[in-house]
Amino acid sequence: MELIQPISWEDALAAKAAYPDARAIRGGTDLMIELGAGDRLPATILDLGRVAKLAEWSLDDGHVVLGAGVTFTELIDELSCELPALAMAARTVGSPQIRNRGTVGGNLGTASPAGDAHPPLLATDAQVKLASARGARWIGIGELFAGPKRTTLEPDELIECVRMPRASGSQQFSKIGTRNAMVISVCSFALAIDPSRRRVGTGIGSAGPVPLVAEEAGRFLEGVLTEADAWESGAPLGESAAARFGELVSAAARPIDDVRGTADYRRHALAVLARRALGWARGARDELIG
Amino acid sequence: MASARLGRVEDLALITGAGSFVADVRLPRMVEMAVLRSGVAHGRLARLDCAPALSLDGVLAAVGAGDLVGVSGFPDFIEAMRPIGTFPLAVDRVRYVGAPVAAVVAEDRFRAEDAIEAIEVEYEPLDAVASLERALADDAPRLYEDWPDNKAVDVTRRDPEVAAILASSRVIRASYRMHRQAPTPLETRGSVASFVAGRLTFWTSAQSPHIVRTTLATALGLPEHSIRVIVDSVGGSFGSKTHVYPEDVLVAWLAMRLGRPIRWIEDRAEHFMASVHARDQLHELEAAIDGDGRILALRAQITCDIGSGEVFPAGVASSFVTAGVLTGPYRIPHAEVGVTCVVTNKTPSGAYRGFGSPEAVFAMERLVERIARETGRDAIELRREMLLERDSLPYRLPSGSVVDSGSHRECFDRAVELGLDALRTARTERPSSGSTRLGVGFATYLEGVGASYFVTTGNWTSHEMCTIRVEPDGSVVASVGVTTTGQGVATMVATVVAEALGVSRDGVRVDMGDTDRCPYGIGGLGSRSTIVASGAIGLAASVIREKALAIGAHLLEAAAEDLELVDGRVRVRGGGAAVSLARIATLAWVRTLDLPDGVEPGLQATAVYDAPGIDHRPDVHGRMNACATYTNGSDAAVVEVDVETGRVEVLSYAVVHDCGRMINPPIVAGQIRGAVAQAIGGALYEEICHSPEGQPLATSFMGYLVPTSAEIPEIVVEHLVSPAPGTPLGVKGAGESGTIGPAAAIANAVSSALAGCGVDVTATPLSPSAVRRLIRESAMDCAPDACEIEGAQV
Repeated sequence: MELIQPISWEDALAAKAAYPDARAIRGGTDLMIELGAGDRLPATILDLGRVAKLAEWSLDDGHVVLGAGVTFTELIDELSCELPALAMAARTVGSPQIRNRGTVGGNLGTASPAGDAHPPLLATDAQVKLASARGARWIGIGELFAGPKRTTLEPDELIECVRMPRASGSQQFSKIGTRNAMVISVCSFALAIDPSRRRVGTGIGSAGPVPLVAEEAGRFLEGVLTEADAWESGAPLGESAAARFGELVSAAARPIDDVRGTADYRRHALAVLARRALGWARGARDELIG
Repeated sequence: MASARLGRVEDLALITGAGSFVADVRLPRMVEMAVLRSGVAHGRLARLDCAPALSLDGVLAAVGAGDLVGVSGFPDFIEAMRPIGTFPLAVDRVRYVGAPVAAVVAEDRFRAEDAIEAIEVEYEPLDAVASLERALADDAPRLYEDWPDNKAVDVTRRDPEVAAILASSRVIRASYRMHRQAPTPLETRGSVASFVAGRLTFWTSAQSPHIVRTTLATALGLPEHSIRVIVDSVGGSFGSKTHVYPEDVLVAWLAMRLGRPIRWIEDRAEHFMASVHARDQLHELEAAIDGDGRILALRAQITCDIGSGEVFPAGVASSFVTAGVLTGPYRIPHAEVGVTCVVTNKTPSGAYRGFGSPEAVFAMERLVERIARETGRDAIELRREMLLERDSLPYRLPSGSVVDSGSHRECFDRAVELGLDALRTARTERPSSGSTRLGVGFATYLEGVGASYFVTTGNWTSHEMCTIRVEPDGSVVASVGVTTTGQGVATMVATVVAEALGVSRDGVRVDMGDTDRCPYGIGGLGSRSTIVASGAIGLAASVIREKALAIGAHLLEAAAEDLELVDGRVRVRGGGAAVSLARIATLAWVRTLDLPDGVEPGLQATAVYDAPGIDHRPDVHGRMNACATYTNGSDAAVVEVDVETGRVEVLSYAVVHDCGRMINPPIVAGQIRGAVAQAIGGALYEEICHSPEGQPLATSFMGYLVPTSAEIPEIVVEHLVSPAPGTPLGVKGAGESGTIGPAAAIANAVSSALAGCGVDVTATPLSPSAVRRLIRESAMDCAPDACEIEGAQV
């Protein structure tokens, strides 16, 4: 096995071009577990741990640009106000040790349908910057996932950063795991209400081959908020609207039966999570925006 | 006892990193073993070629079953069970994913694992039997071709009156299912073997070093005096290391063949496939009741999925225990119980803390709740009317178990008080939101402790030995056959010896876990160590005390009857002249010239203790009293159930426990708390599940969810003390009892919380998905408004 440890991003991209089969590693919280479980050792590992630039985040014209190497702990400590849903999701990741090591970029690269960062990134319409020695391109987060643990990255590409608007309204994340912590989610849901853009974003995790967006549910809620003139006011939306929102989120899921839960349970639980997330979002609105 | 509140004697070594676990054993020239395991659940072994592995750099050996010259299979001693003839490596068939097929020895584990991948193996797949129900189907494939079916055990304890009572009474029928779980100790299994000058030294992580020695001697054809088994620190076991496993024989045999020390440490993925599982059992019950709901007679069929059975001993005995304690601490005059153990294409099952009792109590305590509901009775009152009272003791259960003592009614009453108090607190602190319901549930149980090991193994019975030696300076060494896997057994032994000899606990060193140094013992299992060790210690100590008094009498020129041994001295009763035990011991070993006439040198004694009244085989009616005495307890759980997500949270848990006289109450409380936590895990989170093809679906801690501190509430433990009349110190066992109540108490609490929805819990685990299914399938509307917050029984 060969280990490549570039210092600069340019060297990293050159290495990936030279060794397109190389597996990228940063915190190692996914890859090391796979290796420990007896999976075949990759011929080449590209360690991005020394590329300082990946660990940085910045604000840019109302957006947050998050380096792929920003850890979950850093998200919680530094970006809870700017990216509340993502920070909430980060709090539910693993244990403190895992959160200290695990990164947003790694979560995206692994592309597990259960990746905790994915629903909030979907809900906030995050853009992902894919870079290679040939250049860079931006794609919508939804275009990144090709299937369970598969991405649309070209063999020579690496994830550089993600960019999403700074929260202008309420955001929520909730997930169900059989146990309270250190558990792969049975299903998860993220909601981002963005009054400045008149936009409701959603993200569903662990309930399909890839993380999903409940588009119809989002449009429905946008309509309700507009009709009630409640984007800014925070007026309650009523039980029936909340229930309908939950149903639409549930309908967008494409779950399967597995060890952690049945498809039926996931559909049901997503409706509950979505309805609750909406309730919390409306309740929390004044504090966040006020 | 004077030293009852002192800390544990074993902790200094453990907390300073000086414990020595089997993985800490490093010998010069030591090499490593790895095992090729079956990836199919059921198949014929069509081809095995180890040669490609042998050609790799650093590989010393690669063997299949045919290479194990001189190795015998594991013996089948259990009389009620069909023989299985387990061999350490698959001979012609594999019967579970994880079954050992070949073993490799290499310079290090990395090379050994690479070599495993080089072995060429082919299976002809056979249809897998992946469930208890499938095993019993008429068209099920058979695991053992010379058997007529898949039943390893099929016995019934008849009671001719049960049929008549059932025919003439109201009958309540129900089935209760407990799911497959795994003991999951923090330290996995492991062994290191060294064969030098014809002698095998075998370090292992086990509960019964002498049973390992005897079993290895048989398997390897070695004289037993040529084997030394050493068990030093053990990082938990919970029953799983009572068994002797194929890898033990492989490590020893390969060390003998290669002349190099060999080590094998099980990794966690192996552990989930290759160490025993447990609890996979169905209980079909029929209860004849009187007009008040009291049970007049019980008929039960217990069916257990024991996996492939390929472990020593096979895991059938826990079902016998279920049958033995099924009627619990209740006055139920008649019971007829059938036990069927089926083999399936899963990891062999075996011993797990609780050993058939959690299963029995889950079934029985759910049944009592169902009877109460169907007869319109309060389940608490119904229990009170059936519970054993002190004046009905000793009480012979239908199984033949003789309940010698206990506080069954008092424990239950106190647990009810604690449970209702906790529910009131929960209502204040966690007022229900739209979707949460509070419930309280109770469970009451008795547990046979210090059981005959004959039932489990078909050999050995219930004795234990101890050697006590007072060294020339008065310090004391106690060598015992019981062992510890972390419970604090050394503390117990040191305390009992110190009390018996009137010396300080610090003056006693405990020697255990070494077959060269310790007397032949059955080991530390079955909540027996305190009972049997204290019995043997008492007998040995009395011999030493008598001799010490005789020597003291000589030195003090007093009559021995006027002397006592206290505070490290022999003194005249009531104060006055005294001589130290150290001086007496010096005389006994060193200043032997000064010994009185007729007193032999030396100050040591060996004694064997066997608790009275234990049956090792059933009588003609199938009845037996298999245990030294009976611990009892009652639990109360308060839960919050989210009816929308199905999530169950245990808000509080209380145990009122009676294990007779306690040597060290904090250790007892710690055992109970740990066991409750483990059983909360079993009730809510932990599940070993398989695909229909027999593929295990939980092979790591990512899939097998043990509880963390975030899931475990504060556990209230209260003690009542009903000394056992038949044990020397009145002690009983306490290592397992905490595991017995939680599944039942939590299931009762969840049912109580969801009583408004008509939910009836009949199976574990109560995962969010399972609870939601119960709510969805219940007959009644479970919309938030339809549910009462009140539990049915409060």
